[in-house]
Amino acid sequence: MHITDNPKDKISTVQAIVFISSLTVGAAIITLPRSAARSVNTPDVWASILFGGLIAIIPSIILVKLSQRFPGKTCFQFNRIITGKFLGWILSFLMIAYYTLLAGFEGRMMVELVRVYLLPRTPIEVALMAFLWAGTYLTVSGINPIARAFEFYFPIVIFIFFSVLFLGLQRFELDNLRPLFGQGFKPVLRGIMTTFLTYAGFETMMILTAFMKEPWKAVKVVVIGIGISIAFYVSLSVVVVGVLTVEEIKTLAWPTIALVNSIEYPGGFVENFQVFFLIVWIFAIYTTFVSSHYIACLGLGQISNKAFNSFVYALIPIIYIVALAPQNLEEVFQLGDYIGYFGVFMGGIVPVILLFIAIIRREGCAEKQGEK
Amino acid sequence: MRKNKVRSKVTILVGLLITLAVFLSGCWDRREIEELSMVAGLAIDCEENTSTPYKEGSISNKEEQMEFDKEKQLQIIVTQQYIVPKAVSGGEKGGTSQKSPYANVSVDGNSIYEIMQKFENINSRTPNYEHLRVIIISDKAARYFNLYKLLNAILRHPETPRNIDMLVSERKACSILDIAPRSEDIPAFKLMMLVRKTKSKSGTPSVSTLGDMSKAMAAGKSFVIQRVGFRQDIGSEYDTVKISDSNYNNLANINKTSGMNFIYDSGTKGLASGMGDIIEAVGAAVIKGQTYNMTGWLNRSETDALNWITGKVEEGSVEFKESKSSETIVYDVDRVKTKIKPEILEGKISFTVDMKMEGTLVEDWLMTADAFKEEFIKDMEMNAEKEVRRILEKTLEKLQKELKTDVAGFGKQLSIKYPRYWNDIKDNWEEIFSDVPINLDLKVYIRDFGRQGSKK
Repeated sequence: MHITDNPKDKISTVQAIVFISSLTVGAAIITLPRSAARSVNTPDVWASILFGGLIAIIPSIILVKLSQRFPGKTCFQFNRIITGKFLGWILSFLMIAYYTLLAGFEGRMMVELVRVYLLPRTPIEVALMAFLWAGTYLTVSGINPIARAFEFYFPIVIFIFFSVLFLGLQRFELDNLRPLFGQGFKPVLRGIMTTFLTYAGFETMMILTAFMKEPWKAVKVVVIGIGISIAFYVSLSVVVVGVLTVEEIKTLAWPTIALVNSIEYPGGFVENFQVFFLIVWIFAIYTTFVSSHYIACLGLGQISNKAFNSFVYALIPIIYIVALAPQNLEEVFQLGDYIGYFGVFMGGIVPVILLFIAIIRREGCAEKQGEK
Repeated sequence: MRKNKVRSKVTILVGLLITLAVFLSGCWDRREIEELSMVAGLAIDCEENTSTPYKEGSISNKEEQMEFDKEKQLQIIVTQQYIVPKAVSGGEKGGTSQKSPYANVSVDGNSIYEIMQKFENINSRTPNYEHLRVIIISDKAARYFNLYKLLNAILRHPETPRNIDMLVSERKACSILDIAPRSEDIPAFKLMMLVRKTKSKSGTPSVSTLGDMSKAMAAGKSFVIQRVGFRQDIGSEYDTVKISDSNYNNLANINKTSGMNFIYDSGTKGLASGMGDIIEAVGAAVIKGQTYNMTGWLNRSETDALNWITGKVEEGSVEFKESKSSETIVYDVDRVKTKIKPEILEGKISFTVDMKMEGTLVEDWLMTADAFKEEFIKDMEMNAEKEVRRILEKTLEKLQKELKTDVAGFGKQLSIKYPRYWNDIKDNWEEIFSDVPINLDLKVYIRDFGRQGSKK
């Protein structure tokens, strides 16, 4: 049972880091400030986001440890070894369902924003189709091209994202972030559950570790990868709250776009920064979409012992249906929350149980993986 | 065999191209720029609804009259100023085209969106709000309507930018949009430039945009918006504008054709066009946070004082009489550093406004003035300080006692220093604020006196 037919399907450590942060930085760029502000309700939104991310590192290290026991095997393969064929099949199926839902959700979010800000009259079905095909084009070629494409996009995303935030600073007011922990830490803790969900995506390490050239560096990968997305989300929340205030964020459907909207470049030769930001955001969504689509296909391939390529097209209709299932924006956001919980379950709880069973049943090689 | 394979590949390719062509040719969101009408400004007025269920004369007693007054709702009138592109770009000056570069349309309705829809029926081009620059609300509308409700459609609209300048007009808002400026093409652009160049201008609050309003209103905070109005001294003997009183009245009543939609082109109607510089942007309208409507005006010096307290605009000038000779001295503010320090002692809130002001002595009518002497500067500093203190005290008194609004952000500072205490009182903060003692810790420095120090 080898994972791939092609020994070239190995990714470097940097690629793995980029993969993880591209996956965790997705649709939430646009909505996280609001959902966090609604649950925190004080200007300490950033703290919730920071702690949520730090907490997300703990289960991700656990699941890396788990997958390191089974070198070269993805979770679709090793859960069978740990729990037996039947349970393993169910777990794999849940994983696949999770990634399919995630892909559908990301597609829908992309389309929703495009509908509001770019193409108001284009039927969302058409925009969605175009997006799905563009994603499929990359997905079908496998992990290596995907990782390389991400590596290429990522610096662009970082550059535009942070320059937009930097431009936002001119309307930044420190008083909007104060009082610091004015209502104590309770609101911060209350927000952590919401913000933790945003980091869902780290469970991908259960699959990614198998593809790494240097799997013993997987812990480093996941810590840096999540660290980058923490940096993204925390700086975003600081700027958005500093510019717009918590009270207003709670009222806005797309708080981040509102931030971009209020940027004024002195001299005014560029008036509409929205366009730049939407490009970045579509990149971010695209990467999340492609990776979840790919992993869902990979899972299907591995449980049926076929090449993943054969499932790429088969999944498209399902993703399409998932994406169009929510009837309105509220339902889209709700779907996002459910997917978040699902992700936390798959990435936070299941690996702990699996690792526990694996240790008891002495499955996999617990021997020193790191030193080679 | 091989040929077949090639042929089938070609067939697939052609098939793909045809399918692509189907998708590429139809672009749903094609918006030809020459089919759009760029809206540069909106003016929101209100008037009595003429179509009330009661008929005139049917009201017999006082109670019914009161009932009628309650039922009688004000209707919204929105005036849209759109750009007439050909007249703007013009190119060759002195050409035959005397077409006005802008046109105004007024429409009434009960909701803003309804009115926006009506514009679509009137205009040959689709109105586009991406380049909207100013929204003027008449003081009558600002006092009557809950602004958060009134602006809801505009805040929701995906096209409206957040940096639209918000203005409150004395008298009708639509007539402000109707004064053809002499220095710019489009009245709305002139207004924007007028408001935006806050540098070295006194009597204007810090730029208040739609985004700022949205922020303040979401938090339920009171705030100020820039006032625009007709100059008070209009029609005087030396006024370059030279319009008679009747014309001025006409101007203010220009949109009296109530109850129906009408279109006019200010270029041809001519009454207001070419009138030039008769609008001033000075002072501010105070919007109360809890009710979201306007409660009063601040004049030039009160606006300056408010700016100094918030520290957002470090501008303004102070004119005062020298104590002995009562000659006029003018002090121009360059820098203001302000700290609002809240304090709670034995359950009683008090504030200290710690203000350090630096500025220039720009004008004096005192023949004996000698700015090269230390004691003269010291003396002037004291005089200026007295006047600044008087203005600040007057303004705070007005904000606390008369308007009962905390537009200067005292509450924010209190919430930063005493967040838990703030939680208990925030709902009736403005009531509490009106009785809170505020101490002024003021220091005024003269750092400069320009090119001439003395007259002899």
